Parts: sequence; structure tokens; C-alpha cells
Amino acid sequence: MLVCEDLVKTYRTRRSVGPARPAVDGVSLGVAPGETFALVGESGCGKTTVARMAVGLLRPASGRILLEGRDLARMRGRELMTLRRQVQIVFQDPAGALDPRQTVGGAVAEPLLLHRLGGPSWRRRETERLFRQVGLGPREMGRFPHQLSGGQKQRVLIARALSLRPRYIILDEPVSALDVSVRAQILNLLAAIQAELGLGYLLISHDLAVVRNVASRAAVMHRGRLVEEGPVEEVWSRPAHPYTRALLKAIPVPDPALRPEPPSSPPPEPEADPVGARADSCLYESLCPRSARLCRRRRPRPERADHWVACHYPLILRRRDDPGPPR
Amino acid sequence: MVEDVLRVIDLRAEFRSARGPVKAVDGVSFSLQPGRTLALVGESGSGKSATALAIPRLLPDPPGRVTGGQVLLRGRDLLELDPDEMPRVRGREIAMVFQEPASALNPVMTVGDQVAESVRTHRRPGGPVRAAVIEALARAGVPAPEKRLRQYPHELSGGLKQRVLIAIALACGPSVLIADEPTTALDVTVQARILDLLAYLGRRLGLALLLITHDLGVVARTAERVAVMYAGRVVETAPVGRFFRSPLHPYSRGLLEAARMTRDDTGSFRVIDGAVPDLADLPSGCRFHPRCAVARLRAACAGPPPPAREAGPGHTVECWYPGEAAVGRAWAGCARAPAGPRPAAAEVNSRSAGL
Repeated sequence: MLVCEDLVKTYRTRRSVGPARPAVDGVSLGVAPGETFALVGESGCGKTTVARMAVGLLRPASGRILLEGRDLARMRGRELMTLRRQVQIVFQDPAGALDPRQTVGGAVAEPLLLHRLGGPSWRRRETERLFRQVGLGPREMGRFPHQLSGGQKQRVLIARALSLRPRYIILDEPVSALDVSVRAQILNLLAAIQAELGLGYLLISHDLAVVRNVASRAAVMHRGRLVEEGPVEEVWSRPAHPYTRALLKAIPVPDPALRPEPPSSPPPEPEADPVGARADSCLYESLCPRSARLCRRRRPRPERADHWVACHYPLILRRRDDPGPPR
Repeated sequence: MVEDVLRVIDLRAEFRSARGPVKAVDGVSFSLQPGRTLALVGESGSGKSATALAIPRLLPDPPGRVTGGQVLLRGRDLLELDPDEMPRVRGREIAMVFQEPASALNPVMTVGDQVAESVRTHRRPGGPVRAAVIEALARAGVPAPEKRLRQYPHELSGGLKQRVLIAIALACGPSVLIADEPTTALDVTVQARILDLLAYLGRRLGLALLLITHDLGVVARTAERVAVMYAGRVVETAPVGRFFRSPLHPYSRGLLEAARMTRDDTGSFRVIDGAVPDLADLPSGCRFHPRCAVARLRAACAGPPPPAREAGPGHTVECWYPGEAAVGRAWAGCARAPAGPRPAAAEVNSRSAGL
């Protein structure tokens, strides 16, 4: 398993006064081999920070990354290099993740070179094999990024992520920069590779339709914290956190029969980030229709369960003795 | 019958490039009615944004150039107008909202000044500008508008910035609003509110709204009619209900299958093979035929390009074999579709025969 345990990360900004609110605040999750675990959230919620910590590009302020039970932070030198090969990442913007002056064949071979694997002719054969694996021909190896379409560039990045034969791949918004007609091609490719190699995927996404269709488990992230986690079908059909429900309701469904009633007054814009939110309160409280006093006084903590929620007054899963929010 | 505010007829625009002219818009026609929304749908490179820019003559020249067609605003051809007259048309009659609210606003100018600029440019001088600015912001659902006047764009959330842009666009009471991917840069919860706002304002102010988008979910939520663009041409136009029930162009169907994430028998997502063609090097015949599963078995698709054919009330399609499924490929794109595509195809053929 690839496990993130209680990760915390705080960014310092020049303008921050006093202790900054953490970008990631106590996030725990686990990805099993052969499984796709999705981390869902809106921009600025901290999901990409989690991705970067999971792959070792950022050091958490506290918390641990465990790979097959071994703590990444405690490893040094050769051992760390070997372990790092096992977790790779595919970034969102395929154009920005490739060097415009390097052939894409070179880009795929580069990790092999950096990790000093094989000789030149082996690396060339290996690159060819990787190109075939992602549905590209050897002809494309000599091309530069600008000569490829967005979908082809994303295939190159997947090939590069596969080059070190990882067991886990972090997919940070892998299809959100692509056109819909190309999106399905890339998702099919990722599924085929997963089935063949038994890889574990950590899918970072804001696209709830994609998540529903490719992930088995999902965690919903809001302002640095996880608010709900469970099997995708469970969470989608019976969301327990008010934020999860709001997210699901906001997805525009490609079916005009499901169009909501047109509003009779201009829909208001809620005030931006409530600055006053305290670390020991619920961070969704100011936007939540179910908010009550307790929500401002105590941070809701999840219970251990297959489908859990961090909410004082969840929409489901309520214990029998819980009276619900006071009216 | 509602009168058309804007009619675009056979619009053509191209960009100069090192490899010769790129025909980004190649014979596009549609019309807009007050209080109604037409969604112009397409993938990147389909020409939808070039179309949006060509209407108010904002296509950057060079490298862009409108090469033909008409843009009739209440019967007056904007392409024939003296360039000096265009500023009066823009803002007062046609307004635009762009995709990136952050880059469309001036970062070193207060929100109040930016809305006031629009109010002043297009209104009689001497009016109470401040009141008009506050009113414009309030109409766009900006909370506490008086407090926003002195704020700068970076102090606002993405949703609020887009509302300020909508306020600027609507400050002078235009009759046509062109919104180019207005919610693409926004989070889903913010997007839903902005779409609701546009729908509300459209109906309330009787705006003719041209919504440019790549997202069929957005279309289903907002528009009354839809026009699908592919490689510079509108390949299908239909009322929204009809389109989502029985799309006739194979590309429309592919898009819908992709948006619904339909799977085939093997459990893979249905895909449209290949990629959008290079506009400087278009295939012969129907521009979609190299990617089309139907065309694979028909020689006609590589021949002369298919004309637009009437397929029902308000429904036109540019395809030689509309509504036909490729052999061996179940037509499973639409969960709500009736028995199959055959009746629709027969309808098209009989209608076109009668033309």
C-alpha cells in the first residue's frame, strides 16, 4: 500500500500575519495496488499539495508517507532512490510538463538515464517499448512536444511515468486539459495499463463524472481537510457531508430533463473565504445550511468506518442518539 | 414566432499562418432570439471562439480576417459598417464575457472604475455614474456593491470577478450577449451559480445569449438550442431536447457519448478515434469522415461535402448518413433514446427528398 498518514503542510507567504492556516491539515489516505483512489476537491483545497507530498516532491511539515509499510522520510541515498522509482506522477498540463527543446523520446528515456539504468541501446529499446505501450509509434520518438496533439503529449507523460516501472502513479488531473473526445482515449489507456501491471492510482481530480467512472474509492477534500471518504458508489448515491452534496448537485449533467428550475431571483455569490474560521471549528460552517453552534466550537473528527464523514450533523450515518442540529 | 435579433449568415474568417490561410470559420450560420440561449459547442480548434470574435469584429487583424458572410443585427450588416461605428455597437448592442475573468479585468484599476468606464463610454454624459455602477453590480448579484467599488480584482474570488465582468457587459443594456466559455475557469459550485445568473438575466432582460462552451453538461443546463461546430463548420443545429434525445451527426453522438462516459461491451469508454484535423490541411469531403465510424463503409463521405439538410423542426444536420449507426456498433449513446436511429434517419431522407 501507499499510505499517507496525517499529512500537514503550511505555506509561508510574505503577507501572512500570525500562524498561517495549513494548506493540508491532517490528511490520511491509502492506495492499494490495482486500485484507483480518487481525491476530489475544488481549486485551492490542497489536493495538489497532497499529490506532491505523496510523490516526494514536497516534504510534509508533519505526518508520514509509507510505502509498503516503510517510512519515506527515514530513508537516505540509494535506498531512497530505489523506493522513489515506485511512485511516479503525471501532471495536469501536458504542454507545461515537457521541455519544448527535448524530443519526446528523450523525455521518456531521461528517468532511465537519471537512475543509471541500462546502456544506450537498452534504453532505446525500452523507450520504444514504452511508446508502444501507450499507443504511440517509434516514429513519434524523434518529435518535439509542439508537433504532438494534447492527447499524444499526455501519452508521452504516461510513458515517462511508466519508465521506472512504478507500482503507484499519482494522476494529477490527467484529463482536464484535454478535449472530451480525447479524454476517453486516455482513460481507456490508463485502465488498460492498470489492468496489465496491477498499478495503484491516486487520482487527483475536480471532475466528479470522471471520478465516478474510474475510481473505486474517493475522498472529498475541503480547505485542506478531508470531509468524507468511502466507496465511490456509496458516496455518490448517499453523500453524508453537506459539502459533498453541494458538489454533486452542482455538476452539470448532460441531460436537459434534469435541468434545475430556473431561478426567480439572481443567485447570490457567497462571501469569499471567511477569514475568521478557527482551526478548532468546522471550515465549511459559514457556507453550510445545517450549521449550528457546535460547528463553530469543535472541529468535527471522522470515525473509522468504510464510509466516514467529518461532520457534526451528517446527512446520513447518524447515530440513533444524535438529535441533529437544533432548529 | 420570435423575431431574430442577430442573424449570422455564411460567416467566413481565416487566420494567416506560415503554412497558408487557416479557415477557422468556414460558412457558419445561426440566429439568436431575445430571451433565449443558443449554445455553440465544439472542441478546441473547432472555430467557436473565432466565430464569437468575428461577430463584434474583434478578430485580431492581422493575423485574422473576416472573408465573407453577413452578421445582421436587426437587419443591419455589421460587416458593412464603418469601423468608426463599431464602438457604439459593442457594449450598447452586443456585449461579451470572456473565459478568464482574471485576465479580462485590469489589475491596477478598482472594480468601481472599471464598471464606471463602461457606463461612461456608452451612456449620455452627466448622468449619475456612481448609482449606475452600483446598480450594475447589484444586478449581477455582487454582494454589498458599495463596498466593492474601491476593491481591486485580486481581492475578489473567481466567481465575483466573473460577476463584475457580467456587470460591465450588461451596464449599457445590450440586446445580445456573447459569453465565451464563461465558467470554464471556475469551480463547479461557482459555475452552477454563474450559469443560473446568466439564465436569470437572459430571461429577465430579454437578452439573446450566445454561449460558447465545450461542455455538454453546461448546454443541457442553460441553452434552448444547440449548434455543434467541427473544423470551422456548424455540423448540426437542434433544439436542446431533440439534440440530447436523438443527435443525428455521428460527431454529435460521439461528443454525447464522451460526455456521458458511455462504455462499450468490453467495458471501455466509447471514443472518437483520432484527433481534430489541422485547419490548414483539411480532409476532402465531410471534414469528420476520417474519424467517422459510419463513413468507414461509405465512399460518398470523401466526395463532395454534405449540404445542410432539414431533419425536423429547427433541426439541421450536415451529414450524408445522418442518424445511421456503424455496422456492428450498437447505438447506445443515449439512454433515453427511442428504439433506434432508423426512424430518425428515414425522416431525414424523406424530408430531404421532398426539398
